[in-house]
Amino acid sequence: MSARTGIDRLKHETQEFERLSLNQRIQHWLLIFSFVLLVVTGLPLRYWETAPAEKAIQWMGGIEMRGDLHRFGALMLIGLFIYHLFYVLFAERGAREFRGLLFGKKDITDLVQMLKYYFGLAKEKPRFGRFSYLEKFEFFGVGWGSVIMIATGLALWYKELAMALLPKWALDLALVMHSWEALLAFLSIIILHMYNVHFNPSSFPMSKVWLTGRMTAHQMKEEHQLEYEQILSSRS
Amino acid sequence: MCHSAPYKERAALSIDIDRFAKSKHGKLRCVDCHRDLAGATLPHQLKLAKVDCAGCHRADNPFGAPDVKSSIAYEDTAHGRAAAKGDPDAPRCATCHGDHYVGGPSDPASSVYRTNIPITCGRCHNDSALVGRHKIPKGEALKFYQNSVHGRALKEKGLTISAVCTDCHGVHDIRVGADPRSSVSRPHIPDTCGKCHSGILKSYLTGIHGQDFKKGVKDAPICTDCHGEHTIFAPDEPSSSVNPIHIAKTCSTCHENTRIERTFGLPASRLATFLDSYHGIANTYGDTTVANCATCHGAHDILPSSDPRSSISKRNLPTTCGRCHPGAGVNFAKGSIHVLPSREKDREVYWVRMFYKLFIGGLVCAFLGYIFLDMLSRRRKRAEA
Repeated sequence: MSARTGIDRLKHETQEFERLSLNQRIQHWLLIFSFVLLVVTGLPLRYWETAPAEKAIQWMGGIEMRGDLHRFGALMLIGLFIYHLFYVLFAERGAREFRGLLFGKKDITDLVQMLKYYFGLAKEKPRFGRFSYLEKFEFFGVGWGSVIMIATGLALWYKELAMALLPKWALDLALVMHSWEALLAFLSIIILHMYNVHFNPSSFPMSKVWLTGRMTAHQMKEEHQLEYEQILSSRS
Repeated sequence: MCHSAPYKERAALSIDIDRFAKSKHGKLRCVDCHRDLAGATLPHQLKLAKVDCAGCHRADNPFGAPDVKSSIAYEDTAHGRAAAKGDPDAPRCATCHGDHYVGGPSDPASSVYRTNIPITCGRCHNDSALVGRHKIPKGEALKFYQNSVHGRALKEKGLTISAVCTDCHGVHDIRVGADPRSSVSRPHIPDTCGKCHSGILKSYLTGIHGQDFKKGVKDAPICTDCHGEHTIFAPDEPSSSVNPIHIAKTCSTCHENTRIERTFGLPASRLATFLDSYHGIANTYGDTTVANCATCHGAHDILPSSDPRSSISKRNLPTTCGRCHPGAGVNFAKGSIHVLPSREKDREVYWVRMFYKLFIGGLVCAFLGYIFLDMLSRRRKRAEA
């Protein structure tokens, strides 16, 4: 890389890098919509005996309407899940980025490095590629969570068929898993994901990646330094 | 004649001769009842003796008057005893039957005609001052009755077979419910209701509640325990204690009562486990299509699951569940219906729930710890810069 003037550097700092294609952003928007709808219509059922849940269920038009809305959200999530499956299997970009999302040895050393850094045992944070271990964890968390929620949810939705095939205890299990896995998903998103993209001081009040799909060079150097350097070296 | 025209001074003493002539006693002469006036010169003395109805309504009377004196137990009832003591509130023959214009029970104008009975009884029993004065149990019951399925059938539909006061409480032999001879005492209620609801009574006596009642078990529920007394509504009415919306609460009066559960070895937490299921939640939110207690257990002929005739015996469960869920097979009946997870029973649910509790607890701690460390490191970095 040749020497740069201050102006070049400034230009470069404000340069933006694509993180999410329009297709991926639409997928994410639909995921947000269905997830929020499922949480809003689902959690009140889990906590049905509390006053806020009662209010929420009344607000959405009663217990039967709640179910209809929940199943609408479920249909969206199932559709999205199937589309995404094809996307990572057959779309060139989907397959490439999926490979990047697979866990490797580096993720373990990165995590160890990060913890060392947090405890003051290392001077530097780990340098992340396109996806950090946290992003990978969230991706597979959503994937695995969806598998559980869709499978148990379908068993409860098509209860007549499930009752013909499964013993009662299996349906009890489906109900319990659906309820607790939902809580797990909700807490993971509300705590980890909201911190990562909203409340952590470098993104606050909000990372705009989900809207614009782009990230500034400054953010890239903070969060995906390895990828950033790879991009620069491939350009020069 | 003094009594034939509107009597100027005391209206009560003017007698409608035509109406009197049409009454049961229309053929009698005044002195047949007012015996102290026999042979008196007119105008007669103003103070007359009380008419003694039993003068005619006794055994072997020559007038063909119904023998009431020996066939009824009036004198041994609360009404009769109060009358004997000279209580002015106590109902005597004329209080219910009227004085000069006594009609039979089949005369629609009579105060003892079926549709008029609640009004007749209500003249005293809906009088809060009188009810209070005599400490009448469940006083002012009339307003509850009039709103009930029996009261409305009588009033709105003119359904004369609908139960009126006397059908349950008796006619002349009215006794308080605490008196074991009373038709509304606990030992007699099923037979009293069964006079009209005979099919239900038969069904009730085959169920566990009825069998225990026959054995004299004091805690065994009788008709009124589930249906109420004066407030009985049809099961499809929202006010009914056996409406799908209220039935879980009604059954729980006993089935969430620890003393009763212990005495009879009943399984515990039936309500809690029902409410834990989708049936219970939707039921609480007013969905009447979901199963309630009676949907699976039946109503009058409830039997324990150990009885092979029971709708909830293991063998019958697929049929019972299948009434709503056609898919429910033999396989489905494996596992508890009222799920109460523990290490011994419903273990799958118990352990999966335990796993999630620990996993979520651990994960949330890890998330929060990670966020805490991240913020701490950012602060340190800022301080260094």
